[in-house]
Amino acid sequence: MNNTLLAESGLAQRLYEHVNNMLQTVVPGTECGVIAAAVHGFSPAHLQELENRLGMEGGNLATMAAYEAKEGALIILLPGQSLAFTHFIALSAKDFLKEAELLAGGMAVAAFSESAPAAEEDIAGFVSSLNAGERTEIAVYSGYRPAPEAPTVVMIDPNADLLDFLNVRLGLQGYDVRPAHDGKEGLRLVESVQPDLVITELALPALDGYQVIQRVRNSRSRTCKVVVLTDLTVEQDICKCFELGAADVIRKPFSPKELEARLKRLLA
Amino acid sequence: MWIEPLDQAASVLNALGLTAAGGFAALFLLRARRSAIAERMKMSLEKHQDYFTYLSANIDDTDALLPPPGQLSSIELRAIQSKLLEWIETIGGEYRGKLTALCRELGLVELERKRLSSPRQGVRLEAAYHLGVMRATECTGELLQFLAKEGRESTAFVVGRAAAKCAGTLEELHSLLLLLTEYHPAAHQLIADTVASSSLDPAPLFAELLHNENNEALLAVALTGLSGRNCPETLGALDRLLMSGLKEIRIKAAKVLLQHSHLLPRERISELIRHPDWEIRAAAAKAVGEQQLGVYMEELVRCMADEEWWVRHYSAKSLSQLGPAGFEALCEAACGAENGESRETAREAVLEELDRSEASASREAQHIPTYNQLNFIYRRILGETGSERLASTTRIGC
Repeated sequence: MNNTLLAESGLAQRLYEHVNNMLQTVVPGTECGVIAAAVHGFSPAHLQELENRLGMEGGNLATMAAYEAKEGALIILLPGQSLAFTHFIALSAKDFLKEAELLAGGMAVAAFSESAPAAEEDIAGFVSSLNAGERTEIAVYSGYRPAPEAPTVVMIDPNADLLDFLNVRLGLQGYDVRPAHDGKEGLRLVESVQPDLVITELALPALDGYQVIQRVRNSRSRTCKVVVLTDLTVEQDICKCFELGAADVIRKPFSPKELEARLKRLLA
Repeated sequence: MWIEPLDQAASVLNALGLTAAGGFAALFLLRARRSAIAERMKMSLEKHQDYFTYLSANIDDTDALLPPPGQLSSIELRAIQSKLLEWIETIGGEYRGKLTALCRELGLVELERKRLSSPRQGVRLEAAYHLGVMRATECTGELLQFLAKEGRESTAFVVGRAAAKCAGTLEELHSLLLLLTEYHPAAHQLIADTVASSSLDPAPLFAELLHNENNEALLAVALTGLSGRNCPETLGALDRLLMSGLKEIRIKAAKVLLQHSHLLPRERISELIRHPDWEIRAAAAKAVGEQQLGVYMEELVRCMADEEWWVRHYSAKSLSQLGPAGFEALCEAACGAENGESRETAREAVLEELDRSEASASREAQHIPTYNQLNFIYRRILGETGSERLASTTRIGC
C-alpha cells in the first residue's frame, strides 16, 4: 500500500466521512479516536475476534472496525475516546494483529474532536503516516504536519532512555530530532545535518559538553543555538556554559514542559 | 622413597587444578547467566517499545497512564521498571507524579516492599533505592527501620536518601535526621544533602531545630541545610546560637545570619566584622563584598590590619568589589598600611582586580571606561605605569 494508492482508492475520503459522521453522534466535547493498520488476509472472523479483544480492555468500550480489502487497511473508530486511550487500545490491537500474523505494514493512531473537526488534509496526513518510511512503531498523528522547514534538533545524551522520551515528545511537536549518544557522534550529526538547535549533556563520553559547545560555535553551524541539559549543578559549570555561548542551561531533573517552552522561544 | 613426595605434589597440583577449573566454570556460568538476563531484558525493552512511546506521547494527558495490556513476565516487568525508574530520576515536575503512580499501579511498589525483607543485604539495598525513586510514601516507616539497623555503615546513606525521597511528613524527615545524626554525627553536609533530596521543603524543620534543639550535630545539620536559603524566621534563633559555646555552631550561625544582611541593623554586621572568632570576621568581610554593602568600607579598611590572613584576604577582595571607591581604599592600603603583610595582601588584590577588569574590557568594549578609571586610580595612588604593574605581577607570581 502506498500514498498514491490510498489517494486513488479514496480511503482517505471515506475515512474523512466516517470520522465526521461519527463526531456528530458522540457526546459534545468528546473526541473520536481512530486506529489504522496495514493488514493482509483479514477475514470477518478476525474482525469479530478483534472487536471482542478490544472490548475486554475497557468496560463499555464501543468500537467500530472495518476492513478495507482493496487497500488492505484496517480502520477502527473509537467514538468518545481521547488520543491517549486510543493509543493505549492500539497496543492491544497491534498485539492481536502480530499474534495472528495479519500485520502487513505500519499502524497509526489519531483523535479528532468536534471542536477541531478533521479536515481532509488532516485525514490524508494521518493515512500517510501509516506508511512513513520503514516504521515499525505505532505512528501518532498529533496534527503537526511534517514540513520541509521543520526545525532540526540534534540531541546528545548518553542516557538512551532519556533520548527515547524526548525523541517522541519533540517529534510530536513537529521537530526533526536526531539523537546521539556521545560528543563525537553528536558533532558528526551537527556537521552533516546543520541543525537549528543542539541539546547536549555536559558529562559525555569521548568529547565533553564544553567541547561540543565550542566546536559547534566554530563550525559551519555556528548560528545554531546550543541548549545544555545537564546533571551538573555546580554554579561554575553553568556559568562556563554561558561564557562558551550556550543559549540556555537546564538542570536535571527537568520539567519537559519547561524544556519544550524554552525550545519554542529559542526557535521562534 | 623418592616417589612419595612426587605423588603428594601431584595430588596438590591436581586439587589446585580442579579448584581453578571449578572457579572458571562458576565464573563462566555466572557470566553466561548475566548475559542471558541482559539479552532477555533487551528483548523485553524492544517488545514494549510501543508501550514506551505511548507513555512518552501521552504523559501530559489528563487521564492516568495505564499499565501495558496483557500479562507480563517477571523479566518484562523488570525491563519496564528499569525504564520508568530512569525517567523518574531524570524528569521532574508533574510528570514524575504520573510515572510514580504508574509504578504503583504496576505493583512495583509492593514487589520492592517484599524485597526489603530479603535475607540478602544487596537485595534489600536495591529495594530501598527503588522505593526511594518511586517515592513510595507508604514505605517510609519500613525504610526508617531499615536505616536504624544500618547504624554506622556507609550504606545508611543509600537507605537514608530513599527514606527522604519517600517521606510524606516533616515528622518522618525529623526521625530520619535523628537516626542519621545519631550514627554519623560528623557528616553534616551529607546529611543535609540527603534530607534535601526529599520532595518536602525541610526549611521549617531546620528552623524548628534551631529554636528548640541543643544537640550539636542536629544544629550543625540544620545550619548547613539553611545555607543559601532565605529563612528570616530563624533570625532570633541565629542570634542565640552566636553565643553558643560550640565554635562550629557560632561560625555556621553567623554565616546563615549574614545571608539576611538586609534585615540586620548596621551595628549587628559591624559586631560580626569585629567578632572574636576570626572565621566570623572573615565571613562578615566576605559578605560585605558579595552583597555590595558599601557602608562598611571603613570597617573593611580596618580589617586589612587583621592578624588573620583570611580576614585580610576577604576584606581586600570585598573592597575590590565595592566599585572605584572601594578600589581606591584598597590602593591606599597597598601603599599606606602600617604592616607589610597588610600592604602585600592589598597589593595582590589590587593587581588581581586590575587584571580582571582589563580582561573584561578586552572582551566587551562597555567595560573599557571602568578599566580606565581603575587604572587611573592605581597610577595616581601607587604611581606605577602599566609595564611596572606587569613586572610587579611577575614578581608576585615568582
